[in-house]
Amino acid sequence: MKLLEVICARLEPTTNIMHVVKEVEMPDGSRHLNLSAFHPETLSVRAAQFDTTDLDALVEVMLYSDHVEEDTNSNLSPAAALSLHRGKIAVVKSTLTKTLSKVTASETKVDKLTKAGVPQEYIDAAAEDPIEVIKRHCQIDDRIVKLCKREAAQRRSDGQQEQGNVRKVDAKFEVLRQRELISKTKVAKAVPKVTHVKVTLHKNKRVG
Amino acid sequence: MTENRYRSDPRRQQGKIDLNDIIIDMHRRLRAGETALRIGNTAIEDGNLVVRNGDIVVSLSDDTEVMRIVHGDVPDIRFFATGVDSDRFGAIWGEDVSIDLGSGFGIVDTTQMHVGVYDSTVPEDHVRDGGSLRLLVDDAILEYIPNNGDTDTHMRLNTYSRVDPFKEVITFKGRWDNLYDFSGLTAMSVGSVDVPAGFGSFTWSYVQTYSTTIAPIVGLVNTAGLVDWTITAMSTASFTVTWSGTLAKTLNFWNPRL
Repeated sequence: MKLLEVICARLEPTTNIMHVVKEVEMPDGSRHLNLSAFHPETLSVRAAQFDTTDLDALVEVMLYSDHVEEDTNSNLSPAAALSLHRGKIAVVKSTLTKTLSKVTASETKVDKLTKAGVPQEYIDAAAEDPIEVIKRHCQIDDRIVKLCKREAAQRRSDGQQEQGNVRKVDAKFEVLRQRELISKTKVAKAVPKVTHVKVTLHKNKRVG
Repeated sequence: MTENRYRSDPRRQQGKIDLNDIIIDMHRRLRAGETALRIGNTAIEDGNLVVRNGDIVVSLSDDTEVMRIVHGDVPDIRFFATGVDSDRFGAIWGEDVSIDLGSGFGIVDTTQMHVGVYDSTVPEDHVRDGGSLRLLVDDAILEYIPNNGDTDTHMRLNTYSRVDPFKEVITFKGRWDNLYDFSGLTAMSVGSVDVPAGFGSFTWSYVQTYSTTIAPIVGLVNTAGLVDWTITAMSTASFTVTWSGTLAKTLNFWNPRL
């Protein structure tokens, strides 16, 4: 499923959940409106995970969360992990921009929403920039960031440890491989090379 | 030899108190006194330790009781931590009880060990006011029972044990957090969402990015009738469900982390 365009965003008041309407394209070329939802605190959690207060970057991470997978146990620093993740998003974006210009250039956001038959509150929300709406409702909460940073650091440390263990196992295999190679070489040197085999045929001797 | 000689003492035979008995008694009392002094002089640098009517009481220098080991049929260690909450105390205690399982299942005699937080108004009544752990012969219960009228919750292993139909039964009393993930290490992500008309798919992004695979188990409620639908994407950060048509739906999910 490709993301073509982020159409609008609104905070659903009953559940206090952020609703983002996106136009998406399926592998068979058909298009429809996708409702993406997340809790407003999600941005604060991602802020802890990537150790950043850059709301634009965090909103981008959220909008592409179902299109670009995060490396959850990365042993990279938070800044490097964010940079890598945004790099992946940029690649996806550049592909989608080309698709979008081909298929939906003539329709306005309101047209798309009206045509799909979504409730009026989503159509009203299209008047505002969805990214600004998300930023307004999902302010970074320092208390949550502080709580989540410990877990984020622990997971990075676990990731590093895991990678360290893999390296150790690799090193062990390398030692074993080298030993095996050496022993094979020794065997090869010990056995004289056979260049030809002399075959002598004997007639069966009959007894009696 | 000596004992025989004492026993044959003519004064003892006359009903008088033997001097040796007096010395033996004195020696016993001296030893008891010495032990008490040892406890008093070596274990306490600040505060008080008192043995009173079989209970051992530890108090601060101003006589505020902070710990009591209660003797009797219901032995009990009570902790009266000082600080911000004087309405509750902690305790570890044990009792032998008969529990009536009701509905013809009979009465079960069991030893019951408790660890928990209790209302400090009447300590001996052990009125639960918070978390507690109850370990019985055939049952283990981790529970939260507030004393303010709020609903209690529990996790119970081998519920109503001894009664065949219930053996091995596990009970959870409470509910799951709807659309909220406390940590990326939690075992389950649960939610229910109403998707209005006009949409052909729904994506939920977890509050936390999960540390390992989280498997979406989704139920789609479409009151208008049959509909084609499937989960079209899943990751540790989100999942997407896509369906045919654009009628309003309710989507319930119950995703375990693996």
